[in-house]
Amino acid sequence: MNKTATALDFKSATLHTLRAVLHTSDTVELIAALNQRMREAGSFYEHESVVLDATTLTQAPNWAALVAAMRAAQLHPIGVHAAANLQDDAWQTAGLAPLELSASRTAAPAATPDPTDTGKTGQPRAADPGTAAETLIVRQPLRSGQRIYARGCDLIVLGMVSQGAEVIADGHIHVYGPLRGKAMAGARGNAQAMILTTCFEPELLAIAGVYRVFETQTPDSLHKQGARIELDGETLRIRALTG
Amino acid sequence: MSRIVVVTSGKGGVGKTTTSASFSAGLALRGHKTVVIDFDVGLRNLDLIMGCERRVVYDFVNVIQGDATLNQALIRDKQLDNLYILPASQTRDKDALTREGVEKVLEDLAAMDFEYIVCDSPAGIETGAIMAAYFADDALVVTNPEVSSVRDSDRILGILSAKSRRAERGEQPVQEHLLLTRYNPKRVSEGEMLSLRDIEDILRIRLIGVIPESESVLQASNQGIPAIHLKDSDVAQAYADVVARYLGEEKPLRFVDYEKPGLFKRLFGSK
Repeated sequence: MNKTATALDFKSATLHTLRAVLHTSDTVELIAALNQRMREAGSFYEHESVVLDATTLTQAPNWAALVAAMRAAQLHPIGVHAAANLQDDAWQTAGLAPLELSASRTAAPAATPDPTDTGKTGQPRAADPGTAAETLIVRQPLRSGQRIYARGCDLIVLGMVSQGAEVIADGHIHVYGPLRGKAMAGARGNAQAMILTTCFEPELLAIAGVYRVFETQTPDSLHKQGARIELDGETLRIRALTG
Repeated sequence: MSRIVVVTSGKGGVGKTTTSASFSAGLALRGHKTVVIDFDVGLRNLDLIMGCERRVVYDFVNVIQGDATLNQALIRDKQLDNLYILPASQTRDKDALTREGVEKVLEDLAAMDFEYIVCDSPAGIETGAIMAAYFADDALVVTNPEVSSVRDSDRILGILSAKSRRAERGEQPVQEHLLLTRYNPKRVSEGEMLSLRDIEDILRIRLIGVIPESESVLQASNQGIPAIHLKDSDVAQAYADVVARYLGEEKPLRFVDYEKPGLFKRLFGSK
């Protein structure tokens, strides 16, 4: 590879960002609502990047005015998801990128487990404030090299987690199939988090940072059996799933 | 409608090209107009296995870059007149394969009424392998009965389920078929190789066939004849079974059990 080619690399990244759902094309009303929200929230949303979700609109608001109002409110609009006919030149001058947000969270199938890069994480759909954090459900086997992270919620895997795959959740992890890879529950310190599986043969388990590596084989009595793992003080307690 | 089949594995040297050659020849033997494409740009081998290396003038990359037409680059098989080979380039870089270019070639092949387009993937998980897998409808995941091969197959299956065009479009997932090659029942029974059941349990996809380990594969490769043409060999029969199962027929598994040689065989020593 020549020298110039090494100066820069493109890598993929998954961004966690705010989604501003627009319910009207009336720009004045939008700006008024924006300012009210920002006042109520104090500095909570300040300096966040925002994606405008205009998928339900049939008419374009005044993009330039809306973006200017958002910038004045210390937000950083980065793109818009809208029907093609709502796009106009104002997007370019305002520096907005046309984006695709994943479909609504209830209708969406499980987040596609992320494939090649071990550095990437799957993202659960952002929950609306005020509703319970939802569970991330994965409906296909997780294979070697794949990693999935249920941020701020529980994770259910309907199928196996292969050796070399990683499942991580801030809440509980349920694996209905062989758990052969790594599982880390309570990733942000929730010591109450559990790992539950119907077929116990993991490489590594961790709850709230307390981990255990299974170098050779899992404890005989529970090998390939249902198991539930909880944190008991500073040790991981592994028990049969039932009884 | 043509069907795109990728022959893939992750690991090298497990029998992808041998399988691509025999599988495509097998489809052609059954009367299906078939083309097999070598995606291993830079290290082409398929033309050797198919015995057409001296007839390669233009290649896949020439077609993608518009230097040659598909008709100029396609080579008709020396034995089957409904089988064509699209060879890889030996001189180009693998980055010559662009997604748009590959898509155009596949569309053009479909328009030429090819029923099956078999893509012989290179080893690894880089551009060539990703390109070969991206457009696939079906995948033959070639695996040897040893742990590193099984692990790499698992990795490739993960990529197929997340990165293929079908996955990106949210369509029916790629049909995955497990093909075990270089299977030696004797060494399995002695615990030197992973058993069929172990591998199925690890990968959990449908088994489409088991190809026994055999010296005749090497002979066939050196002669430039796809192994499926070797009359009366177990390998040829096993590949014929794979093609039949792919086309929806029920065939019992063969060549998977080890039989101790009988007295007669031991006395007169045959191989």
